[in-house]
Amino acid sequence: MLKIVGKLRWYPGDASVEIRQQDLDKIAQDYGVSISIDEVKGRHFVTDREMVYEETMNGSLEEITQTVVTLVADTEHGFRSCVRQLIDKYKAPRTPYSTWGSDERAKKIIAELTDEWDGWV
Amino acid sequence: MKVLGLVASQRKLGNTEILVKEALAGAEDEGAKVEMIRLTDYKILPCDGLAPCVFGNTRCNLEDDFNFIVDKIFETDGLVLGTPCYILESTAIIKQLIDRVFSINFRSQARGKPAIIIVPYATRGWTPFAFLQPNILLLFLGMAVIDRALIHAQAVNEVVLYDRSLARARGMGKELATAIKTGDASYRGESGVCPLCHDRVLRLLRDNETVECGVCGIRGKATLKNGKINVHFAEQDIQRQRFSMENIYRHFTYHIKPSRDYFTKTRAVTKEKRERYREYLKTGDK
Ligand SMILES: Cc1cc2nc3c(=O)[nH]c(=O)nc-3n(C[C@H](O)[C@H](O)[C@H](O)COP(=O)(O)O)c2cc1C
Repeated sequence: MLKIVGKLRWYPGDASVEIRQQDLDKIAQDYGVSISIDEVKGRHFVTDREMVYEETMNGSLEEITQTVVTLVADTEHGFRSCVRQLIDKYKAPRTPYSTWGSDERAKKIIAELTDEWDGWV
Repeated sequence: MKVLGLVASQRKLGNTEILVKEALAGAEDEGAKVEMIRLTDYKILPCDGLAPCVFGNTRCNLEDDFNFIVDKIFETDGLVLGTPCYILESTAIIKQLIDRVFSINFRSQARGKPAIIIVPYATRGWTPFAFLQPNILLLFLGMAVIDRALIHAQAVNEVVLYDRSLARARGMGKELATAIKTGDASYRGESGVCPLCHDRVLRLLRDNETVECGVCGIRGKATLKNGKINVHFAEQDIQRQRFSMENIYRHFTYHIKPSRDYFTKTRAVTKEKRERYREYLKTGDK
């Protein structure tokens, strides 16, 4: 059976609580999946009236500041349970491109689950 | 000290205009230089959604009077916003302005300036969302709404019959000027449920546990105590409010601008798949 690989991208301020590796490890253990976290730091910053801002319109969406959680599961059941748990804990990532980098099966499952309950509506 | 009044009713010398003028006269009594704009006398086009403003960090490029009105708002020290209640909420020109202030992104020059909202209405019980859109507009701009009033009057200029209502508007205008002079832009109005916009309109989320002020995007818990509903918003949730400068910046930076790269990445597929919709139910260009 092919593994299911999903990526969820949370941007600054979007997750309801901080996403920490130790909490993800616990979820991974509970559902028999593998979860890793990648804290991406943006690369393009501009200064405007003495404040520094990230400029995200010209770069690639993989390179902007974000927390990427990658989920790899052997079974659809494990994948679904884990996504539900992540949404319950952090709320669903907000944008249509939040699952960019996931395989097609993962994208469909995440879309289906978040339409049911995303923590926002 | 400058105070600007915006009137969002088509009716000339209608209740909104008269009440806004009263408020401006109140501010003038306190030494303000006042000016009034009837929004419907200006050309304000709908946002075309192409967003060169966001993707180019520019002003709105539509050719109409929107930027003129924004400049007026930015130049003023305090704002009186008047809109009649139309079918439970504001008139369409307010929504039109809200969509267009998108182009300002997080660069509002009205941040922290005080504002008041005046809403004439005709039918008791037909006003549930009267303050939502005025609040969205002013909070997006970062303004501090210090007071707001619903004023009961129906026919054109009818409000002149009601001295109490005129006095209320005048008093609000005076208070607005005082807020500018003292720098105290704290809320003086009737307390509501949301600690930020002070409205009483809450959403009950699908979990049937969480309540949210949809305007401010803050969440709380409702509990029942002695038959009364108590809504509590934790301080850290209040801090996460939608319209803080930081959150508006984040919204544009992380939820909107990267959509350009996603558009590019998925272009080959969307280009092919969209074709089946092109000729189906095709409408003529007007
Ligand atoms: C199309 C339309 C819709 C209205 N809807 C409402 C409403 O939902 N609730 C209400 O209390 N009054 C409603 N009114 C009444 C106006 O709010 C009221 O007459 C107000 O005083 C008008 O202010 P103006 O003279 O500045 O235009 C409506 C009036 C119009 C013309």
